[in-house]
Amino acid sequence: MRGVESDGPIPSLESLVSPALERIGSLWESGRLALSQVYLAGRMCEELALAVLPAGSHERIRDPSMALAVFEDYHTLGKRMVHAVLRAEGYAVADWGQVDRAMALERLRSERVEILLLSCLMLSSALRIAQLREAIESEGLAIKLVVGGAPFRLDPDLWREVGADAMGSSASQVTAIVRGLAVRAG
Amino acid sequence: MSAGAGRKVTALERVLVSLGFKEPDRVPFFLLLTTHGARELGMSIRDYFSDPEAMAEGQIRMQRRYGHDSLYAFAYAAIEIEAWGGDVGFVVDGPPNAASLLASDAAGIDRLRAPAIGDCPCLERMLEAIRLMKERSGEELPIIGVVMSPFSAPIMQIGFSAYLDLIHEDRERFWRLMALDRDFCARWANAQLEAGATAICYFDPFSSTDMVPRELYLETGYRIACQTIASIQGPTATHFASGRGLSLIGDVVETKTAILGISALDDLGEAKRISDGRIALLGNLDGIAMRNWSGEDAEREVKQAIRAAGRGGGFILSDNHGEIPWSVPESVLDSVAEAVRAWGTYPLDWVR
Repeated sequence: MRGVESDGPIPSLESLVSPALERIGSLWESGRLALSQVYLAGRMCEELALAVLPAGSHERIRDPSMALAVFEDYHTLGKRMVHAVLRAEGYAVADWGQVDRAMALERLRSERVEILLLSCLMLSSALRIAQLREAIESEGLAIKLVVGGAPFRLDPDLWREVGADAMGSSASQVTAIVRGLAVRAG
Repeated sequence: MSAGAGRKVTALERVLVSLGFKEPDRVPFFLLLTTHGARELGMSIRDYFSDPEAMAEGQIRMQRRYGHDSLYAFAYAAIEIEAWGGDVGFVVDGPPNAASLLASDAAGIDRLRAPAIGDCPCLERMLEAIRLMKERSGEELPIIGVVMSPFSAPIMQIGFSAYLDLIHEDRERFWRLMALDRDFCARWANAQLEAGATAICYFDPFSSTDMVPRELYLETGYRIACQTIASIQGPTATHFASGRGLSLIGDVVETKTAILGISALDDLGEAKRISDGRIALLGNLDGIAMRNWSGEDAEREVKQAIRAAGRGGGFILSDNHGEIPWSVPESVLDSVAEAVRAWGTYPLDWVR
């Protein structure tokens, strides 16, 4: 807590939580940690971060503006884990819960979102992201789509096939992806 | 293998010889097709799964078309949630999914009661489909029934994060839920066997090393599998549904299951080496990649799997998940079947 007092919450989270989450993510990707362990680690980091930087704090990072959702699916664990990582690293992100294409489009039209993070477990849901991408293009919305979930892990080219801008094979990759997209856009 | 002069080897004989770690006439293969049956009959997925006659007819027609070695008595995983009173969401291009949780808090978990099989129309439809499959295929084709393992079912029953919290923070309530699920799982498996299923696929993705560390599996999923499989009155195949499990093969053998489904992420040759005649292997064609395979891709992948695990029997070629996605075209399934016939004939002299 002394670091938080002297450096502020964001630099402290970046120096303490980010490296831990990155290491956990790479251990998961190499098969040396199980999902249950990654989930618990993410939850602990999130709790720690919320203690020093509450969810509604004005100090949270709001650029780029982000929303996350489960897409045409009912499995929420992936979204929960990505949300935990983003909150643990000081980001503000809107949680849209579960959305289908129409709901996602409606919110994208009315809310200021630069990056939409979508999670799904079912292959059929993952494939339908292509239709959302098409609708986003045809409406001329400047939205970056980041996808994640089991189908994308099993088929490393699937994210390109559905027209996403990036794919995270672990929750802990999300901050690096978001930073990368923000730099490219900026 | 000789089946007597002029007599054709049946699929069941082929499978049984392979499960005895001997080489039959060719490598047996299971195309574990569910929603494709609807397409075969020109029906919607929802209508197809509500009609036992259609499910039986779909399986029989697909078996005749591809010549694979089983009928698959599986509609969708969420059928068990439906049986317990939950909702199922249908889509037009994939398997139905559990659309509501059975319990959202501790009190809800405590209120859960397992249904009687006969009180569940969705399960009765599946049993009727099995009876029809049995009536039409006789003793020639194994019919594979399906259950969700008690250890994995709560992912759909209470949600994944709530289940992870339960297992780590409330072990007493976790074991109470396991007792309930174990009882249901055994009754549902035995009802399918009684209806005519030859074996039961025990889907247990949560036991995969991708999901929980081995230490936790040994404390939980392994013990539950030992107890549940002992109460199932027929042979079982354990499947981690795409999840990895090479380091668990020795443990899975001890659960007394006959077959283990292998992930496309695992090395099939390594699985063959580790299993060493103690458990037969099922797998491990990549069902997701299969969507985009050419005929050449299918042939290469089939050859690679047969090369890795075919020799000496103890191997059934299949997909890695226990269900081939709706988006896999029939032409790819034709190519897979053709490649098995071309490269799966024993002895596998071409394998070095």
